[in-house]
Order: sequence, then C-alpha cells, then structure tokens
Amino acid sequence: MLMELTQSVVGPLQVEETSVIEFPEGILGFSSLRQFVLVEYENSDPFKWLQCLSDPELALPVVDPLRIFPDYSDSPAAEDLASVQAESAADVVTFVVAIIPKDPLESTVNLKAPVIVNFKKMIGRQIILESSREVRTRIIAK
Amino acid sequence: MLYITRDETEKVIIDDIELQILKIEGDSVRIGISAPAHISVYRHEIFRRITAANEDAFASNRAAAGSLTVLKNSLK
Repeated sequence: MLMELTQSVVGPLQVEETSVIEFPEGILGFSSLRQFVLVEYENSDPFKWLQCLSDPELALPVVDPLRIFPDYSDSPAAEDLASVQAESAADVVTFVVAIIPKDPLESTVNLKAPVIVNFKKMIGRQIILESSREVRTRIIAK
Repeated sequence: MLYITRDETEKVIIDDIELQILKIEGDSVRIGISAPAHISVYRHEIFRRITAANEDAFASNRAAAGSLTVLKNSLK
C-alpha cells in the first residue's frame, strides 16, 4: 500500500508501507512520534533524514557515525538489541542524530544516544549508551 | 510530591517497579532499580540533555537541506 505525504523535508513524498520504521517508544522526548521513513535527499550524502509520518514538518537529520568518526564502535546493550527484536549487533544499522544549524560548520552529532534500526523487522529505537560519549560532538573540530 | 524517608537496604514500590537504597556514602546514594523490561530508566540530566538535542535536531531541518553540501565538502 502506498501513502502520500503532501509535504516532507524533501517535498511531496510517496511512502510504501513496507518502508515505514516503527519506533514503539518514539524518539526520546517525543514519545508520540512512532512512525518514520528514512529519506535520502539529493546532494546531502552522507546525511539522511528520518521523516516523521504523523507530522510532515518533523524530520531528523541522521548519519552513519562511521562516516564521520571511523573509531565509533560502541555496541548497543543486549536489552537494546532485544527491544528492536535483534539477536546481535549485526542485525541493526546505527545512525547518529545530527544538529545542523544555520552555519553547517557548527554541526554536531549525538554520539551518546544513537538510533538503531532493525531493517528486517522495521523497528527502531533511540538508545542511550553507557559509554562516556557526548550528546553534542562537533563534526568539524574547531 | 510525595516524600518518604528510607534507610540503607530499604525499598520503595511504584507499581511494578522496585527501588532499593543500596548504599549511602557521603553525598551520594546508590539506588537499585528492578523494573519490567519495557520500562526505561534514565539518569535525569542525561535524558534532559538528549531531549534538548533532539529538539534542536528537529529544528535544524529546513535551513540545513541546502547547506549539507557545504558540510559534505568538509568531511573526509
């Protein structure tokens, strides 16, 4: 089945039901936002957008942390993996949420609370790592 | 707010969540929390920092779209 968002971060968007990622607990601080699609935006590689389905105005820029920090190897805890019905870290894809202000050189990513997605089950969750990572880590060092 | 005084090893029950005061040492208190798997437990200040960052991340979307290429060029 196909649904259409008349507007999204990338303009009008047709969404296949099979591409909808369920976030049973929402995003931290936004527990009512339960359904997202991962959208690629022309020219914005390596960034993608987690577009909220219930509110077309809301989208989170996300990025594969290894594209920015090659040494980022923090594994999700077993209970976090279980929460997205994954058996091992190999079953999930990890993204970090970016904050991109007016001056993109000031952008930061949240290494403390990555988003993990089990694409086999289409379930996602924003987890909090126990390791001492920063919530706002500059992408480009000063 | 409800105030309860507890000594070391004593517990408080909130629904199906059990809190136990494990150790009181100087200014800090060690708490043990037993809760069902679907209950998320976070340190308050970390949770607040993350929700504030998520707010800023949601706010970044529009201006960001066009500027991401600038950022991309700065990345390796």
